[in-house]
Amino acid sequence: MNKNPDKVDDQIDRFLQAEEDGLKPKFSNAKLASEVFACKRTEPRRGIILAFSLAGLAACVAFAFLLRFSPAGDPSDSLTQDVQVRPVEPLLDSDKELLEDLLVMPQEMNWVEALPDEATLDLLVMLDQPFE
Amino acid sequence: MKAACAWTTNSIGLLAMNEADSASPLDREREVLLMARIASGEQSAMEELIGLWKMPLFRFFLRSLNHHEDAEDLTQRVFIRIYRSSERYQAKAKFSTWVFTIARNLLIDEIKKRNRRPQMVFDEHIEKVGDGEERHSEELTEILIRHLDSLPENHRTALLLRVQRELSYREIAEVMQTTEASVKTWIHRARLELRQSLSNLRQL
Repeated sequence: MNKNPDKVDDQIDRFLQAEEDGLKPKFSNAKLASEVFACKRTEPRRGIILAFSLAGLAACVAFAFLLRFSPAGDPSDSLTQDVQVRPVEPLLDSDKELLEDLLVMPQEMNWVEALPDEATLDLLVMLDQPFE
Repeated sequence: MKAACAWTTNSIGLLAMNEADSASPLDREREVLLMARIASGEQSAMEELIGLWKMPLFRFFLRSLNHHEDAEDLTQRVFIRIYRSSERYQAKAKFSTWVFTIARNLLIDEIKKRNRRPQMVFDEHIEKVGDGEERHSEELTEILIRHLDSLPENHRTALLLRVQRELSYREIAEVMQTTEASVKTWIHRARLELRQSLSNLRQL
């Protein structure tokens, strides 16, 4: 260790105090004071910044809320997408026959309520077939 | 009298008190008045305050960051903060404690910024000119700068506040929001580190 700790401490203190280091001449009291005052005048108030931030945040929340709770996308959109994606398969012969039967059906029978479900359609097809 | 005794104890081995030190009720009253004048927009009051605190703050930042321009910039920012909070100022603590609390907060922000940009080199170049004792002194300064820079921020700040401002351990603890015991430990470790750096130099 050093033989003269006081001297070392003196050197350290002198260095830490940085007495010889000075400010640039442009850093005069008057100039600095005017810059400080100008800085406050030009800077937007914190309240205004906060208000704008809150407004932006509220808009984001509202947008997210609308997206989340708006009616689910129009089902026709997804149907359209499905149609576009899936390749069209050719109709089966039996389906073709059924469609032809429906088309040639008398006008008074050609209403939707007459064909309420698939079972009814099956029944009609069975009736149409010859008995064995 | 008591204050004078405390000052004498603190000042052993240190330089005389700086112009900005104030502890008496009269000084405190003056500070409150000064802040009130600043709050009312009196530029001459700000000039007065800058005259008192410019150099202490600059030296604190200079030794903390080892960068002349950043030290100037941070010094200016302290005054901007003081101006902004002048309307709300209340003389609860010693003025120097308040000023250096602001200074330290800014310093920590600056260090964080630097850590986010580690590629930048902040060390100021020290030109090696002259010979003999002058050169030895420059070498010594360079070693101290390097070792001071390598110290943890809290150790360095505590040491600087003690040596530069002669703040008491209690005041430093207030500025750094810690205990007096921690402050004593940090200062001791920081000083030990710097002493060792110099003893290594002498052994070379």
